[in-house]
Amino acid sequence: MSSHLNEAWVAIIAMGAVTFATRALPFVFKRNFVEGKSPGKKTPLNALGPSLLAAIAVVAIMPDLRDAAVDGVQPFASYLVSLLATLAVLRLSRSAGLALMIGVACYALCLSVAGVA
Amino acid sequence: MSSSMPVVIGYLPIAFAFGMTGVTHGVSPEMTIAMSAIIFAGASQFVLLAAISASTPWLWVIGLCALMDIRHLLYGSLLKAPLGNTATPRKLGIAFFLTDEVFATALIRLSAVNAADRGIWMMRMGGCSYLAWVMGTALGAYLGLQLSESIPLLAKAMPFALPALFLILVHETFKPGHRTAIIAAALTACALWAAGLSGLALLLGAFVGCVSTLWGGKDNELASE
Repeated sequence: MSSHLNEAWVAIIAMGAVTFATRALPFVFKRNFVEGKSPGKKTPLNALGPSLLAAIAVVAIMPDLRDAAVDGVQPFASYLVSLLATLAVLRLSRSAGLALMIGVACYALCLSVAGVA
Repeated sequence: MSSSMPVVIGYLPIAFAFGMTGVTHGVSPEMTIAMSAIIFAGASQFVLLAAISASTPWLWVIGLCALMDIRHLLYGSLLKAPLGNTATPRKLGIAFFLTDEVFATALIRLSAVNAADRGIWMMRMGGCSYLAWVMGTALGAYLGLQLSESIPLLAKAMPFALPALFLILVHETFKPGHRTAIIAAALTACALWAAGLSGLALLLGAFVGCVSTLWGGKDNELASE
């Protein structure tokens, strides 16, 4: 348990160092990262962030969807409706925080109405 | 200070959700708050929480976050010129606060600030955002647990914040030119997840997404140039 906790702290500190390094390096070096020698030129690397986030979203959402489907139609529908509600609020309000809160509230409401929780 | 208000308002509920999600995933409140105070990167922190839940090896998680953080190299590169007169130690302080939202706000408003005041303006805006993030996490970590004990429905619903946040992040980073990459990455990740290869799903999904930008089509920013 203690070893697991120590590993967690090492991971947090290492992740903090990696995050700070990627933010600070452009201010330390003269070379312009990502754009390289051809400023403004688009490279496949430009798609890395969106691609990685899309892959993470799939891996985060699919197991929940599978579990909800196993639990029944109502939990599955609750999950899908709440995802759509999150996107709808995001598009209307342009506020990630509000969309997140309403998405979670919608999920809680759907679970409650469906009698799942 | 007013420039940081949209970021502060946006951060508080997400940070609260992060704090609460952390403790409902079995991470101590102190460690959850430390993640916000030391890392200060929402997506990376949620990835770390997801990894803790999935018992993913730490090195994989750190490597994954390093890949995600590559976009920060672009942020610093773009802000280097407007912050040209700022001393390097202050620039390093600014770098610590350079989240997606702080960068986006700076990109829009920094040009309207006097060149000599830009460094301190960035420090104040980033500092306020940081305080909102850490305080929101602390509130979520301590009050969120009590709330989940008194309202079990809340505890059952809060884990939904994690997939919802990633859906939001995908939407926020979406540009028409990235449509092909996002679809390719999502399909690849889905196929590998279905095959039971979740760890590879992230890395190969991102790789296939990047490579797909070389493919032709009107929804592809490289091919359409």
